[in-house]
Amino acid sequence: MTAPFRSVLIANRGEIAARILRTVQAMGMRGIVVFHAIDRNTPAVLLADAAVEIDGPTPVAAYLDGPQIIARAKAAGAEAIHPGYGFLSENAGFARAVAAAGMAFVGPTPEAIELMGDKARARDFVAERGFPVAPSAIEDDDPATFVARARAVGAPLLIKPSAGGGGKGMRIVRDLALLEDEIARARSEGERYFGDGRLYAERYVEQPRHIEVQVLGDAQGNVVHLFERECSIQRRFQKVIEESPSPALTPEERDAICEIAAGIARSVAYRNAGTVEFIYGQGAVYFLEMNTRLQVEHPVTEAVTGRDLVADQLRIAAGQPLGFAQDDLAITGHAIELRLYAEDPARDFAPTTGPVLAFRPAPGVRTDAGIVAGGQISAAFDPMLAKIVVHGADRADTIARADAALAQTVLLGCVTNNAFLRRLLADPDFRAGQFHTGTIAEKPELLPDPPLTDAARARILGASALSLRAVRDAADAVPPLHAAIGTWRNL
Amino acid sequence: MKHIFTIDGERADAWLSGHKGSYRLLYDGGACAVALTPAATGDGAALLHIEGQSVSVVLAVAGDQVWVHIDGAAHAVILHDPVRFLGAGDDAAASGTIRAPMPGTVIAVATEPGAQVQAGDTLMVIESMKLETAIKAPRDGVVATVTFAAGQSFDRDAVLVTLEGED
Repeated sequence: MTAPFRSVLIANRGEIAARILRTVQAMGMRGIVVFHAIDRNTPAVLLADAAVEIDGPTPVAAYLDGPQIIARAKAAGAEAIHPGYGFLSENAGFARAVAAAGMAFVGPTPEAIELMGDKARARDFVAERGFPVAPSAIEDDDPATFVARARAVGAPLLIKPSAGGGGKGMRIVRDLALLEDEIARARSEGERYFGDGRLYAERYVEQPRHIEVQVLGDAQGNVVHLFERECSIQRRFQKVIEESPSPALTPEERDAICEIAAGIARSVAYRNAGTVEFIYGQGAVYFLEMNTRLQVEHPVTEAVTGRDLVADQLRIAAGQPLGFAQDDLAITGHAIELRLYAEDPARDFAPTTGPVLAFRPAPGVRTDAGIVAGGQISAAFDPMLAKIVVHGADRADTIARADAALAQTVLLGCVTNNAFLRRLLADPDFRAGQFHTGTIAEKPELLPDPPLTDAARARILGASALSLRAVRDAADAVPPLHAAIGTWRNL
Repeated sequence: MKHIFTIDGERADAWLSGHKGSYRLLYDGGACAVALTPAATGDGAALLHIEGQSVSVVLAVAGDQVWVHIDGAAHAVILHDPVRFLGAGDDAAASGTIRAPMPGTVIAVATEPGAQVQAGDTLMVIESMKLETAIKAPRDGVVATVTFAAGQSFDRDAVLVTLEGED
């Protein structure tokens, strides 16, 4: 099969830019990346066929500057732009501008992005077509009417700002007597965070699980699902561990939820890769939202289905058909993705930064990384450094492999959540598949590192004291020893 | 001479005594012979010989800080200057020096020099790695200095705000 394009520009950074680049180059295409100066020493920039510098008032602003990126793509001769996730990936205006500039946007149509990007509109669209949504109330003009509508939805109730995201301003109301007070507080937070006090209320599912289904659609109208991912292990509404398949679903429930997702994708004539997200709990499943992009956790789906989703995206963007049908897809084994974050779990997951003094991924394990040794971890972007993706015969085998991979992943120079991830994997509830989106918050005992044993402290002290001594001895040594000292200087 | 280290923020005292090319590690829990054999790869990998065992480690040194990957986990070890370490009984809440808990950027400043504040008042909102954090007054007082303006970046432990007087 011929490559769908001659060259593709990747309008993103970090691990996803490097991951997309690998597929672009493996398919025989020229891979071009844009980068802000702060990212000069990152895998995507180091491995790209061409790297084009972009600038802006802040590093984030540079990656959000659609016109600048389109101009760079044109100048570099790119035939397509892959936006990755975040940044410009769900920006309908950017998708239109890419097409207007004569290039292919590797993503869905602007219309699909707009429809699904408006959560209230998407929810109504889905509900009108008979798919399950949680009972809800939307505030339009009259606050008093909203209170009545919210009361009618019943407790427990989740109130959130209409304009919101990232969990800001969200409140759970279990006692309807407190409804008006909680609405006032949520409105105040909405105004403060988003400059918009309008609210949205929906039935709250206690101990909810977050389950999502990967879908693919092509320009010929073919739509398939690639089964589900479970993404319930979260801290601060951000996912930490994802897996496929979900340990929560029966085969019948899996069939049902995947069919709903594919049906929603068909109903919007969805093209390219997307994800339909659901809240699952107490035997019910409700549509949450559809993400019109490649997701961070797509590798677990790739692991269990054997597909390269970026390759599929590129072919679809070039107008080629999927080339396979639903019956050609099956789940093989189990996969887990671990997000390695620059953060300190013991300090309430506070971000950490620092130089990457050493980085060595676990051998034989897929690690999608956005860092290299010699690089720098900056506070300008989100704290995800790498994704460790393990595939095993079954869930227990995969958990064992995941723990081993974490133990073998070396990252020195910055505090990470590596040890916390290992404690999560060892947690009996996690191993039993009994968890929900609030599980990390309910287990504060997992956050701090346990005290070191005397033997462990002696080992760490011995290694540290000797390496400091070696560095100082080397600094004091005379020139003929330089060759031997070189090794020690690296310690 | 005893050295003061911290391992992952916890104090640990130790020192090496050398004799004819080999070392003994003396620490609070005891003493033992130690040696380190760096791998030929020159990438920080080494074998630590301790208590009759050889253990794989990966090491990186940056100034007085050592990062150690051992037994499947990474540890940050800092060698402290004892005079400064033992003299640094600085309690931020008492002194009124409010330092950055992490590197980041100022999103909003909610106070100004001369303002009277109460414990718990938000003085500043910062962002680091897309996480917003409110910097709050540790005690009642009057704001003496506000070091950064909205949009400016700072490193961890940078002084963000000071309150007048020492409690």
